[in-house]
Amino acid sequence: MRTSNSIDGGLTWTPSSVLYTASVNGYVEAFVRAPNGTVTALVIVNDGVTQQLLAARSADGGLTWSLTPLSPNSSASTLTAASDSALVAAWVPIGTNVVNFARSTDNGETWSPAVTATPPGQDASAPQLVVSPTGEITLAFSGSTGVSLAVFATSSTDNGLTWSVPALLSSTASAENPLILLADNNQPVVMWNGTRVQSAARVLAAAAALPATGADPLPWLLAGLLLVAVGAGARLRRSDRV
Amino acid sequence: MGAERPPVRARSLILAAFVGLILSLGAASAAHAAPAAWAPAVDVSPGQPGREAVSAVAPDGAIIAAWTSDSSPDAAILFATSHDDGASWSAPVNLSGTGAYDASPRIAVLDDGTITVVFAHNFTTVQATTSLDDGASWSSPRTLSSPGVEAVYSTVVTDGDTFIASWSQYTGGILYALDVSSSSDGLTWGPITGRPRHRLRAHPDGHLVERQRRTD
Repeated sequence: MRTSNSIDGGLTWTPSSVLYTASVNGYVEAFVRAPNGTVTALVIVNDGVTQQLLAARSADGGLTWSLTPLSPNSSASTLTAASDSALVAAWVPIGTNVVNFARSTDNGETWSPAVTATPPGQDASAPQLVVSPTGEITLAFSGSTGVSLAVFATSSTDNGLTWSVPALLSSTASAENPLILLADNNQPVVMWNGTRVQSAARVLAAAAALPATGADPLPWLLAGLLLVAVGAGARLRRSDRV
Repeated sequence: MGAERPPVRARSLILAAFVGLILSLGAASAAHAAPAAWAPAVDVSPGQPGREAVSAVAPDGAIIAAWTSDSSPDAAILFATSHDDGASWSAPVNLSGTGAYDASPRIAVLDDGTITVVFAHNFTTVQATTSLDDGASWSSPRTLSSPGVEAVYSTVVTDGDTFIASWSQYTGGILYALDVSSSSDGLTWGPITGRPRHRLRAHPDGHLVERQRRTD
């Protein structure tokens, strides 16, 4: 696996340098270049038995690379810049059908412990990440409703430590291969293929006062019970005064 | 006779315990955040299947998208635009000619809004079509790859004022060789060699990066 670099719009290219010598094969899943010039790539290398996911990092324009293992057996990974020095990555450990997530705050030199971002049993694959200017991370992925292929999205507001219940975005009989981007209003938009090409846009906070279909009803039930309790307390105090 | 009512202080403690229980249950449930609110899915390709969708955000904030639409035995590249952050989409525009198998689109947009879609034509050549009016009209597709040489795996990137298209050439049975072409307007394409350096504007990262997958 070799890389070459151009800093003049493709007019000239550096001699290729070795990123990794895989025993069977390997391929680069994603590249990100930080403003300080550090290049980080997610690389999958195959030794004939497992597909190891590595974070490859170069601080010298691709001449030399350092490698950090992220997952011992993985496929379908994605990498996105979260800020000038922070990166977020997601991947699917083979055989788990969930999406794992990790974050680096030093341009890929070290990574947080992996967090499982999607529920078990959802047959998750094809993760795609985007980070809003406020730091909210949105993860779109292919999954299963139990009946058909579908596209879901989940989000995190604490740098990936916890994730929301995935929202079902697609409405067709079959949907897969999501891609995600930030719209001009800084809200994520997800597009996917399937029975038709569809898209879904995140609703702005001001328009999201009502829970979306499928929202957890427990908080609303508890709020109602609390109101009942407050009302009962008020009646109790009135009866005490009689 | 009924049981004697507990004193006022005891009843107040019972009420406080009940309210506390309610609040603690509420806090526990909040640990499982509800799904974020998303608008219902909208069709970008109403009434027709699509695959290989790609998209980008134009300088004016519009979301632009292209995808492959199959109509066996042919396939075409379709294009649509959203001017309301993905809430709705324009009617698809067909970028392909008739009787062709066009697939695997890649899309890029310059700082001045010029849009180019690069795609594979009939499994053998790489073509590009360009819009100077935000996708309302498109140039006739231009062939970028060399005649008689099978070209595959095309892509296009931009540094803001120039498109760089690249693809792999399938020659000699097994050899893949990278070829590139550039254009400052999406209408005239040519080799990068000889480009005046002062025309180069640094991309935010200053580099162009090509990603390829090989299994040989």
